[in-house]
This record gives sequence, C-alpha cells and structure tokens, in this order.
Amino acid sequence: MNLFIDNKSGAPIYDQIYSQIKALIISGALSENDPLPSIRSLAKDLRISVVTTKRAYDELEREGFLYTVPAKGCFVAPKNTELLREEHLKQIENHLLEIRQLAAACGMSKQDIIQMLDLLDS
Amino acid sequence: MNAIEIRNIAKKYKGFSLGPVSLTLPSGCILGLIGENGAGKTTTIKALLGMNRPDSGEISLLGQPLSADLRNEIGVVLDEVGLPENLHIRQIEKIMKYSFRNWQSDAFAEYIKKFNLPENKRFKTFSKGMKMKLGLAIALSHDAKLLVLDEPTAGLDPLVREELLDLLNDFTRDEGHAVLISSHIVSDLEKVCDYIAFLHKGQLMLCEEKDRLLEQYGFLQTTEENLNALEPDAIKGRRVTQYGAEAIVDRTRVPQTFDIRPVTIEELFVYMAKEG
Amino acid sequence: MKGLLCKDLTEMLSPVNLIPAAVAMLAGMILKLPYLFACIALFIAVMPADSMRRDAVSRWETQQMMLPVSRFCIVTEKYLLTLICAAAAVLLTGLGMLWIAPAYQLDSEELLLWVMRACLCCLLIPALVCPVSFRFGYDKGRGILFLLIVFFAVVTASELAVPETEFGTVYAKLLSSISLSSMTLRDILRILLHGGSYKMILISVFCTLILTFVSWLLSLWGFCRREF
Repeated sequence: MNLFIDNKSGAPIYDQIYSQIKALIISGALSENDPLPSIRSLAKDLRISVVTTKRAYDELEREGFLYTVPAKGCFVAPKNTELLREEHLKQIENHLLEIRQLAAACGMSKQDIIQMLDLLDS
Repeated sequence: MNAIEIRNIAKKYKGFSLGPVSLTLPSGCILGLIGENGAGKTTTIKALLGMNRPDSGEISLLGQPLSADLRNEIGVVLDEVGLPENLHIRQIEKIMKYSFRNWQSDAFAEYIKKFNLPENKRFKTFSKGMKMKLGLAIALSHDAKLLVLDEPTAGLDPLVREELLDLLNDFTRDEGHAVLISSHIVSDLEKVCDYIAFLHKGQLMLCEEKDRLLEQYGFLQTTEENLNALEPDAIKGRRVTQYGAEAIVDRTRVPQTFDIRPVTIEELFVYMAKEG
Repeated sequence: MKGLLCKDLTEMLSPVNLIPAAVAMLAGMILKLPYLFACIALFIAVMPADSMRRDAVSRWETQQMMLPVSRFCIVTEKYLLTLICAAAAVLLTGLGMLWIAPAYQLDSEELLLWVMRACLCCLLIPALVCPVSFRFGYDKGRGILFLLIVFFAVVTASELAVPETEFGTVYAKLLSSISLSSMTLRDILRILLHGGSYKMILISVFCTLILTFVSWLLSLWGFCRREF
C-alpha cells in the first residue's frame, strides 16, 4: 500500500490520508476484508500524529469504507454499491464540467460533443 | 487514562510568576512544550516531578498523585545530566540497578551499543551529546511509561537530534507510553508531537492538537488596510512594515479570496508571543 | 537507598582516597607515629561532607530527585554513610594504636581515648555541616565546615598556649558558657587533647550521638523544604 503525505502542501494531513485510502479502496487496490494497518503503526511509520490518523480512520468508518473488529483491527468494508455509484457519478460530473469548459474554449457546441461520443463508440 | 494531568498550578518566584497552567497529556501521545528562555518550561517540569512545590494546583501522573515510588515508571532527562563524574558506565549502571525496581540490563546494554558510548571512560570526559545519550539510555531502561525531557536537543548536532526524535517516535508505538518534551528548537517538536503547548512569560497561551493548529491558522501577506478590515479576532499576530503587512490569521474567519499559505509552528509561536 | 549508598561508597573507595590512607596507615604503624592515625580519622571525618560537595558540583543533587527514592532516604543515606565512616575511623585508629601501644606504653584508657577522639570527629563534623547543606545547598554548608575547622583550630591553639593566665581564665569561662548537655566545651576539648576518665569519654560520645540524631531530624525537616 502506497501512501504519500506532504507536510508542506497545506492540505490537511487527515484529509490526505482519508482521500488516499478512499481512492485505494474504490480503485480496488485494497479488496474487501483486507486488513488495514493499525492507526498507531501507520502514524508512527509515516511520522504523523496519531490523533490525526485516528481522525482519518474515523471519517472512513463513518462513511462506510472500513469497519473495526475489537481487538483485531480495521478492515476494508465490502463494496457498498450505492456509495460507489454515488462516487462514480460525482467523478463523471466533474469530468463533464471539464469537458464543457474545454469545448467552450475551442468553440464546440453540445451537439459537437455528442457527435464525438458517437464516433468513439463506433 | 491521561499520562499527565496538571490543574491550575501556579508558582511565584522573585521577579517571575508561573501560571495558572493546566495541561493534559493523553496516553500514547507526545506533547511538545514550547517557550522562549525563561518562559517557565523548566519550572513547570520541575513542579511535575516534585522538585519544587507549586503554590497552588494539583498534579497527577499516570493516574496517581506524585510519589517517590511512581518515579520507577517515569524516565526523566533534564538539560544537564548530573551523574557522578569519576565513575564509568558500568559503575553507574550498578547504581541504577539498585535504585530502579524494573531495571533492564539487556535494554541498557543495547542502548549503550547503539549510542556508541565508551564503557571504560569516566563520565566527566563525555561530550554534551554523549551525556544526554547516557541520560536517555538510563531513562529508557527501567520500563518507564512516561518520558519527560527538558531541552534534550539543545547543543546537539542535527544527526543526533534526528536519532532522538526517531527514538521518541518508536517509544510511543506502545499506546501505554507517553512523552512530554520541552524545547525552544521548535522545528524538532513540529516533526514528532501530537499536541503543542505554548508557554510565554509564565502564561499558557494555548494547548492544542498540532495538526489542528496547522489547519486552522495560516500566513497572510497583504496591505495594512486589508488587514485592518478583517475581524480583529481573526488575527493572531501581525507585523507591519513600510512595504506591507504580514499576519497569522484564523482561516475560518478570513474570506476565501485571500491567498493564505501554510504556517509553521515556529512562526505561529513567534507571532503570538509578540502579540501577547 | 541501596543505590545511593553504592554510589557514595564507590566514589569514596576510589584510589585517590585509598592510596593516601593506606600509605599513612603503614607509615604510622612502621614509624610509630600516633598522630598519623588522628590525621586518617580527620580525613575520613570530612568524607561525608566531601561527598555532598561532589553531589552539588556534578549536579547529582538534581539527578537523584529523579530516582525512585524519597527525600527521607536521601537524607538518611548520608547519615548512614557518616556512621559507616565513624566505624571505619574507629577500626583504623584502633588497629593502628593497638599496634604501636607497646612502644608508647599506652594503657587501655589512653587507647580508648584515641579511638573515641576519632569517633567524635567523624560524627561531629557531618552533624553540623549536613543540616545547613541539605536546607540551603552545599555552598552554605561549606561555610559552616570552614568555620568549624577555624573555630576548633583557634580554640585548641589558645587552650594549648594560655591555660593559666587571667586571659585564659576569662576565655575558659566564655567557653564554659557554650555547653553541650552536661559537658562544657572546654572539658570536651581537654578530653580531645589531653585525656580524661572513662566516664567523660562515654558521656561525650553519647552527647555526640544525640547531636547526630538531632542533626538528622533537622536535615530531614530542612531537605523537605528544599526546592530545586
């Protein structure tokens, strides 16, 4: 599992951990019921605060990405298809906004974009 | 359980008064106590260890009031390590073995080897760094649950300082362990602490999670007029020159339009101390 | 307390102390010089005070506050050390004097006198220096030690020099008014220098032991108030 924390970037550290682990889970790099490193060992290995790591894990648990088994540790939760679908929809929306911006920059209309999509399909 | 609980301790000396100071250090965490020389860090730590008697307030360590027996579980390194000058490490170890209940000879031998300390030279021939390392080896070899370090990195080179921070990091892998470390070299503390407390002129300015501090505050450079237009509460410290103004601001109270860069704990302390 | 005793004894029994003591002992026995044994006794008598000096200089005073020993133990250990030193001085002086007794035709009373002199010295000096050192730090205690030595030196010299003149009598009266229990200082000094009966010897030792006990209590009270 690769995690890269940047102390200087200004992005909150708990957010960096949260986003990266979430991305790993969604992309499938971490499978269902895979064990996650304990909060303390992750914090110490990355040289970040335990309090912050716990915050990230708590957030992930709240959103259903992981579950805790007492005395055993944290594990990746089974893929929640609703959650995943929502996540993908959000990504598609973001990409579409980007496409619209780019299209406007080179003077393409909505029809032109749909034509392009048909071309790709065939 | 809280490793350290200090409630409202205060102490008055001629020309200096400390407190009231209240601090809590949860188990499994590292608290960095930052302050300029003479801010009261050493006084606070000595009150914690029973070396002086506060005029008021309560202290509890590892859930119990302070007692001589409790020191079996507390490892202390003050800025000057005062071991007998004419003894070697072997002789010093014997003294410690007879004093501490859970002395671990193997762990001590490992640390001595790791720190490259000479076994057959007298203590008075050691350099400052070596003395501190020996003090640390002793503090880590009697199964202590709490480490209290007062300015351990002063006068040490960057490599040794990094080694020390690594050691503290490893020490707190066990959630039953905790560390209180005081320093005026803020950059060291910033790397390793979970909580930060600022002491300035005997008063506790704040005690917070380090990462929350870094998220909440930012560094702003703008014109003096813009600065004055902001809420007074949002500004934690400022510096105005003829070329503009700089300030540490609370991100949550400043409009998003301003370009706020991340701040370091050192800058935060310096600006807040100047303002206070 | 075991650790503290270990430290003090290790420091005391270093070659720097043992070699001169051994040399003086041998010299005294071979050359038949009783005053060398008195010197050894004095040398041992200042050792507890010297150990306090070392503790202050090397900052062990502060370091020991981090060991799991109570302030009671720290004080009591120093007094235990004093008793050990007194016993050592008694042993060495006794051995030495026994060895050379035939040469000087000393009777048992005189022998006992020499030995008790050593014991008194070893108990008196720490008893007076420790309470001040524990309460105010060795800097102030050192002053007391110096004053003590000067006082005894001056008084002893004057006692030897002018025992019979009028000045001597006034001075003697002055000294008599400074009394330790039933003994006058002059009487103690006379015992220390010239001799006396068994009874006087025993009373002065007893008084000094009481003084040591009171000193121990004072040190405990003082050290509990000390701040670092």
